[in-house]
Amino acid sequence: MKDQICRAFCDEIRVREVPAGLAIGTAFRRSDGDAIGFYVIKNPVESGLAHIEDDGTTIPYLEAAGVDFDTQTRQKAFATILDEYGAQYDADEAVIRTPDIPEHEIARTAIGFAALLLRLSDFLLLSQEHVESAFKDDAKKRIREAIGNRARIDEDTVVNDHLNEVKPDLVIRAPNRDPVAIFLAQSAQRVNDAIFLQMAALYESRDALSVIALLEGDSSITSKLRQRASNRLSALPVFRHDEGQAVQRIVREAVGAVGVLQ
Amino acid sequence: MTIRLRRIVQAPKSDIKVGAWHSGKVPKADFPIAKQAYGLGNSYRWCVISFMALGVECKVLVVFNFAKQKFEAILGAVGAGALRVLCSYEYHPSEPGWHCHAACDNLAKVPNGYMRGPWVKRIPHAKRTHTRQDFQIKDELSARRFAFKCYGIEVEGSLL
Repeated sequence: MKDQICRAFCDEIRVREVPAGLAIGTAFRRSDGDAIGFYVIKNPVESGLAHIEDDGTTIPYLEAAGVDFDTQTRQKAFATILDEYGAQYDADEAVIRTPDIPEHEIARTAIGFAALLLRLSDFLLLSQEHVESAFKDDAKKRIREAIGNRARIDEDTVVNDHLNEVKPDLVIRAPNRDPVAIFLAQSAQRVNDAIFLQMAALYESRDALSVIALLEGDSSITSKLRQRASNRLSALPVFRHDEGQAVQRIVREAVGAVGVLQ
Repeated sequence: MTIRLRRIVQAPKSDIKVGAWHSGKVPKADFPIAKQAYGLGNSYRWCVISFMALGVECKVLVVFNFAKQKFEAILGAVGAGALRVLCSYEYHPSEPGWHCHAACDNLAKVPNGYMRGPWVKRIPHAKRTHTRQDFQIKDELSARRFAFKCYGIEVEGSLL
C-alpha cells in the first residue's frame, strides 16, 4: 500500500532542465487541466543555496480568469497563504518565491510550495461569481431577444404576493397566458427553489403558473434531482451547447407555439 | 454566419499589424484580457499581432520567457472594447508538451474578458499523448513566427 501511494505521488513528477534552473511539474492540476509547476533556481553567487519560484504567471493568470485581488479580504487571504509557506510575492516580476535555502532543504520545501500554488489556484472558485453572472447575462439577453414585445419580462421580482418566498430570475407575462417563472440554475439550490415555487403555486396558493429551471450545463445537477425536477416543473431545458433550442422551449411555454411561429 | 475558432484560424487575414516587443505588464489598451493590465513580470517579453478575419478584429498576444522556457500565443476577438479569448496555444516545461486551451463554441457564446472558464477545453487532454514535445523557440523572432503559424497568419517579409 505504501509503495502504491508513493508511486501515485511520484510517477507524474516531471523534472526538466531549463536555462533558469530546474522546472518541476507535479501530479496536481488546476481546474484548466494544467499541472501545478515551479522552478528550482540556484543562487549564482553563493554555492549550496537555491530558491523555489513559480513561472510568474500564477497571479496574472488568476486575475485574467476573473479573480479580483483588489479587495481587502482577498489581499489578506493571499498574504496569509504566502506567510504560511514562508514565500513572498515580488510584484515587479509577478513571481512568488521562497528565500534562498540550503539545497538539501529544497525537496521538503518543494512539497510546501506545490501546496501553496494549489491553494492559490482555489482562488479561481471566487471568480465563479463572475462566470455565473456571464451565464445569467447571456441567458437573459437571449430570452429577451426571443420574446421581443410579445410579453412583459420582470427581473428579480416575486411572482405575486402569495408566492413571495422565492424569487425567480425572470417572470414572463404574456397576454391571456399563465405567467412563466424562470430560474437560471447552475446548482441544485436554484432547481430546488424552482420545484418549491411550482409546488407552492399548485397546492398552496393555487395560482396558474409555469415554472422552468434553465440549467447552464448538462452536469449542473445530479441525475436524481434532474428526475425530480423533470417530473414536477413545466420544463428543464439545458442551455450550453444548445442555447437556441433551450430558449425556444421557454418561448413556447411563455407565448405558445403560435407565438413562436409568428 | 456562425464564427468559431477553427474558422478564424482557417480564414484569410487582412490588416495584419505586428507590434513591437515589450517587457512587463500588458496594458489593457493593447490586450484587454484582464480588469486592469495583464500583470506579467519584467522577465516576460510580449508583443501583440492584430488582424481582421471574417470581419472580426482579432489580436494575438505572444508571451515568451526563454529562461523559463515558456511560450503562450493567446488569440482573442475584440468587440465593444472587450476581448473574447478563443485560444491559448502554449508550452511550459511542467507539461508533457505543447497544448492549447480553446473555446470551440460559437464566438458569440464565449464570455467577454475571461482568460479561462468552464467553456474552455484543454487540447489534448492532460492525460493524453502530446505529439509535439520540444520547445524549439530560441528567440523573439522564432516566437513570433510560431504564433503566425499557430493561427494561420501569413505576413510579408517586412513584417517579420
